[in-house]
Parts: sequence; structure tokens; C-alpha cells
Amino acid sequence: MKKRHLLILVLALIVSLLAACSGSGGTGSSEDSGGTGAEDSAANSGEGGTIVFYGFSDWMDTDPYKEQYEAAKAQFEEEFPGFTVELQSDPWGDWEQKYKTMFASGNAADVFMVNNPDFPSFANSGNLLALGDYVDAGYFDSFFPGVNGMYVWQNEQMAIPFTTDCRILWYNKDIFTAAGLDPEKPPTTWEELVTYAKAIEEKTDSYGFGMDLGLQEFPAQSLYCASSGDIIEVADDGSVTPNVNTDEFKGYMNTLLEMKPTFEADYTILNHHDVAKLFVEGQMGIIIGNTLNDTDIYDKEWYGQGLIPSIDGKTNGSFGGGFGISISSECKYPEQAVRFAQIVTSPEYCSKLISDVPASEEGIAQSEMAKDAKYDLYFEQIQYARQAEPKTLYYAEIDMAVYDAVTEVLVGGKSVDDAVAALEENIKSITAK
Amino acid sequence: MISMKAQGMAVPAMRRQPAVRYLAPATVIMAAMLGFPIVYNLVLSFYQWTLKSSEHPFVGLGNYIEILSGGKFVQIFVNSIIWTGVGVLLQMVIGIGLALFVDNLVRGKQFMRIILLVPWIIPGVVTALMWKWLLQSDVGLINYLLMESGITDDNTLFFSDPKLALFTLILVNTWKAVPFWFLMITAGLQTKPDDQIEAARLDGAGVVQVFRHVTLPHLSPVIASTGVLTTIWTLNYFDLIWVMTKGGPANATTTLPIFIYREAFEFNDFGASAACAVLSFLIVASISIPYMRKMFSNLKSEGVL
Repeated sequence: MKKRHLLILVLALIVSLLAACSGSGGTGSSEDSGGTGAEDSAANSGEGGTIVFYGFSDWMDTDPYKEQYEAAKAQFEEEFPGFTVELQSDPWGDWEQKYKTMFASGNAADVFMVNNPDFPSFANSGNLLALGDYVDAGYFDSFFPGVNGMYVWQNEQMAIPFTTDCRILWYNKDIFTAAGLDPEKPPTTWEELVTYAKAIEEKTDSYGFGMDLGLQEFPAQSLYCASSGDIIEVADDGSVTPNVNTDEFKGYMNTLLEMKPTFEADYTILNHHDVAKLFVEGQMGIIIGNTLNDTDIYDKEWYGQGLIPSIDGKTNGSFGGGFGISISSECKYPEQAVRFAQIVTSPEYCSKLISDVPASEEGIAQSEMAKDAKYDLYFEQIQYARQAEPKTLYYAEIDMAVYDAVTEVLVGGKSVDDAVAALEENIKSITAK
Repeated sequence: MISMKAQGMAVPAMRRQPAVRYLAPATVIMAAMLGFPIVYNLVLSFYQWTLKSSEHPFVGLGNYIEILSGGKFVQIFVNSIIWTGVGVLLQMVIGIGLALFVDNLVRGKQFMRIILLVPWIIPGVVTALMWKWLLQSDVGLINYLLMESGITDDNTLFFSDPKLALFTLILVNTWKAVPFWFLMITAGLQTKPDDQIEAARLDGAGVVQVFRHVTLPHLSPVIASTGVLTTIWTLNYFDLIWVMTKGGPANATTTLPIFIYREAFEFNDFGASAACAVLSFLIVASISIPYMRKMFSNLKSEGVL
């Protein structure tokens, strides 16, 4: 009898396992979800339904964002009587984990924020709705071209740009003066940056330079992005070639290495919040950071801003990030979902829904930040922002490989040439998968 | 009342087997909540299951081969062994020492017990953030105290020195985990054989001999069970490392859970992540199975099973 019960239990487990495998496995095509066509027709005939929107709570559940989302929802419900929007959110860390799990298990929300490095993976796996059939071609012209380009995959627009972000150079004018540097003249080249950082280190009690190497490599790559190089080259067929064995990339690594004595001691594990905090406390003379909106920097008299220094001071650039709004290819009500995404990303709402920068000129024009002169340089820099590496399916893996190479040079004692050679092989093996 | 059996009717199997009835709800819940994910994870580990593609082909042992032949795995495996082995050993020695010390206190015993439990009550993330700033190389209190007291001349790079980072994390985790050892050993000491200890002392045994020949054998079942539990918990501990170093610098503090998380949620490769989780499961099983066998054998010999 015991054996019979055990057998029943094992069989039940196997059946449930097979059911789960067949549900979330296979090709992931829209047929699995129970069809969209008939339900779309039903929806369009006015029966109504619910659109689930999923994002992170930092930008959804706190004031003033919460109120704006409710307003966007109300506008949508007025346009589509019978339809409603269910707003779902989780804190940043949980959100990132959960929205990937949702895709992996075939249970994505209808409309959701998508982090730009994740976009190629989601798009390539057929999880995102191509927006061409639902939105006029000219609709996307109002967004920054560089940001808009982040959300195009195989010539299909699959997300509406929502926010963008960049890094600028921050420096402490008092520390500059104490170090014998001109407080109105921030460094514009890598060479000047090294010289200034060393001067601060030698002549003051502060550290010369700080950046958030500890989070991931790409924000730190703002220095590299300011010049014209790319870590990889992506051919039209999607094949990837490493492009790190160059004077420019080695120059970037050498710049970091030369500045090493001027870094704050825990530089390899500090995230951008930590770096900002230490800068505001006067511990660092120069940092690369974002708006620093979460600090009291703008109350200080001593802060200065500059564009990110480049290899020769002739080019401009910065790491550029941000989020888009995508619609699941499994969404039952694509027309309505796209419309809600448009409302949320419209200048009227977008400018009030985020703490980052809206992804369009018009959005910026309507935002509170645009009215404040202290953000002028930030907006100048954002025009030159770009992704730290060209769009591929391997963004995170290559980013980690670059981070490993940089840390092995800075704390592992590896030579720049050896680290670059290893990185080259590493990128090849990543993309050969 | 006349039973079904007396009436010559067939008695349902479930009624003849009370143990099955009692165990059924828990078995079903455990099968659903533990058995299914474990089996599903095993299945997933044989597929190339990434978020990058809609195709999930069967690759057999491909994920395992890729992980085991990858350059990082040896370092991560060694990190995990050091993190767990050294960590649990430290927790055990300090936990037993503190429990014996407090047990022998005449005054302040309750106060000490409460104070020593505080680190265990603090959530892992809060512990990590607190120690991250205390141990910060430039503005951290610990470095300040070390230099002010003349123990060190310069800032100690607790997190940025790859040779020191893992041991720093082990010490922080020890601070957090010692109270559990303290609690378990303290509980074990409440039933220590005072008559045997008294007899040993009368026979001239010293403190060390009493501990070695009477107290320690009495505590050994508690030490074994606590050891297995803390080994599994430590090996699987994620929050503290993630918040403090994210596995850096240069992978110096990357352990198996960090690697598993990275594969799944940073590189979107659920197949490789599942394969690594299976390897981690095998390590945990190799630690716990001998203990479980010993425990069941003891229970059988005592007639409990």
C-alpha cells in the first residue's frame, strides 16, 4: 500500500512537471497564451478588460509619481470605457528579478518598464510586441534618436522611450583652489584628469578622483564613451568582434591605472550612491556622477560641473542609460496597451513620472528640471550620451568581462596588455555561445 | 458501534494506514513547494534556457560542462569552501566559548543572553550595510579605531584588497551567525549531567578534562545538528555578500549563490543557473546525507522509528 501511495505521488509530480514544461517551454509563441485575435475583437467591440502595468515602486508608489499614474490611468479609462489599468510594482531589486522571471515563466505583464540592457534579449525572444502596426511611423521622431535607437531590434520598434540618463563630471572648487588648480577650469582630457587628480591627492586631504566601479562597469565607462571608440563592433548580421586591442581602450585602462593612487580606497565596491555621498562630504575632489538629486549637493556653494573628459578633449560623450515602455507580445489587448504606454510616455506625464530625464525634447521642456539652470550642463551632456557598448544580446556578459578586466588591472596587478588580451578572448567566447 | 471490519466490509486503505493520513497534507505541500522546484530545476539544467531566444534546445550536460570548464568556477568553488568551512568553524568555536562563559556566570546571565542574541535578530541586509560603513577604508569607524590605538599605521583595505575581502565577509557573517550557535549550545547546556561533572571534579579532573570528557560528548548531538544547519545556511547565504561586495573585487568574494544569481538575473541564462544550482545542491547533499543517516540510525536504535 505504501508503494501505491508513493507511486501516485510520484505520478502526480511528473504530470504537474510535464504540464509546467509544456506551458512555459516550446517556442514561446503567442498561440500558447490562448489566442489574442478573438479576444481582441471582443475587446474592441467594447466588452472591456484589464491592462496590467508593471514597474518599480520607487517611480510608482511614492508621491508625486503615484498621483500622476492615477491621472494617466483615469485618462486611459476615459478613452476606453470598460477598460481599466491595474498598476503593479515592486522595489527596484525585486522588480528586476521579477520581471525576468515573468518572462521566463511566460507570465509577463501587459505593459512594463524595460531596462535598456535587457531590451535586446526580450525582443529577440519574441516577448515584445512590434509597435509598427499600432503607432504611426512619425510618432517616434519626437524622441532623442540615440535613445530611440536603443529600442529598435531587427528594424522593429519594440518599446517607447521613457527616460534617459547620463553622467557628468562633478568637482569641488574649494579643493581645486587648495590644490592650486583653477576652480573655473575642470579637466577636459584624460591627461588633465590624471594631473588634476594627482595634484588634489598630493596637496589636500581629499582623494583625487572617484567613480562607481563597484556597481557595474558601464557607468564607469563614461570616460571611454566620451571618446569615439566602441568596445565591440557589431556587423549587420549581428556577429560581434571585440575592439579592445586599440590605443584608445588601452589608453582608458592606463588612465584608470595612473589615477589609482588618487582613488578613494574602497573604489572597487562603491556604488554611485556611495561615491556621491563621499563627494558631497568633501572626501573626493572629482567624481563622475549623475544628477546627484538624492544628495544635498545643490545647497553647496563649492560644486562645479563639467563635461566628461575625453582622450583628446575634442569629442564628447557619456554612458547613456534609461528605460523604455514595452508591451508583451502575449497581451490580449494590444491596441489598448499601446495607448496606455503612449499616455505614460507622453511629455505631459513622462516629465512628472520619473526622477530621471524624459527621453524627448518636449518631455524635458515640460519637466521641472528644465526650468532650473543647475541642470543646464547635464542636459548638454545628455545630447552626447550613448550606450556603453553597441546593442547586442550579450550586453551584461560583456559588461561584466570589461569590469573583470578593469579590476584585474587595478587590484589584481595584471598588466594592461595581458588584461586586454584576456578580455578579447573573453568577449569572443561570450559571443560564440 | 460495530466496525466496518466486523461487518465484513473492506476498510479503505487510508483508514488502515493512519500514518499515511497524517503525513499526506505535509507530503503534498512539500512535494509542491520543494519537490517540484527541485525536479523542475534539474530538468531546466539540461536545456539551453535563456531569455535571449524563444528556442530552448536540449543540451544534455552542456551547461554543466560549460560551468565546470569555465575559468571562474574553480575560484568560485574555492571561495565557497573557504567562506563556508572557515566561517562555520569560527561560528562554532566562538559560539561554544560564549555559551560556556555565560553559563558559568553567576550574575548577569540573562542580560548577556539577550545582548548576544541581538546580531541574529538584525536583518541580513541591515547587517551588511552597517558593517559596510563601519569597515569602510577611509571614513569607517573600525579603521579609525585601529589607527588611533596604534594597531595599524595606514587604512586597512577590508573590501578592496582581494586577499582580505573574503575574510572580512567571513568575520561579518560570524558576528551575525554566532548567536545561533550560542543559543543552541546554551539550550544543550541546560541538560548537562551535573552529577557526572561533579563526580569528575571530585576525581580530580580539571576544567579542560571535564569539558573534553563530559560536557563535549553531551553536546555533540547539538553541535552536529547545528553544524549541518549552519553549513547549509552559510553556503547558501546571499544577501550579505551581495550588499557588501557583489562578489568583487575581481571575483574575490563570489560564491556559488552569487554566481547562480548572476547567471539567471544578470545574464538571463536560466539553464546555466539551474545547472550551477544542481551542483550546489549536490554539495549540500554530500554534507547533510551522512548526518541524516546518522540521525536516523540513532533514532532507530532508540526505538523512535
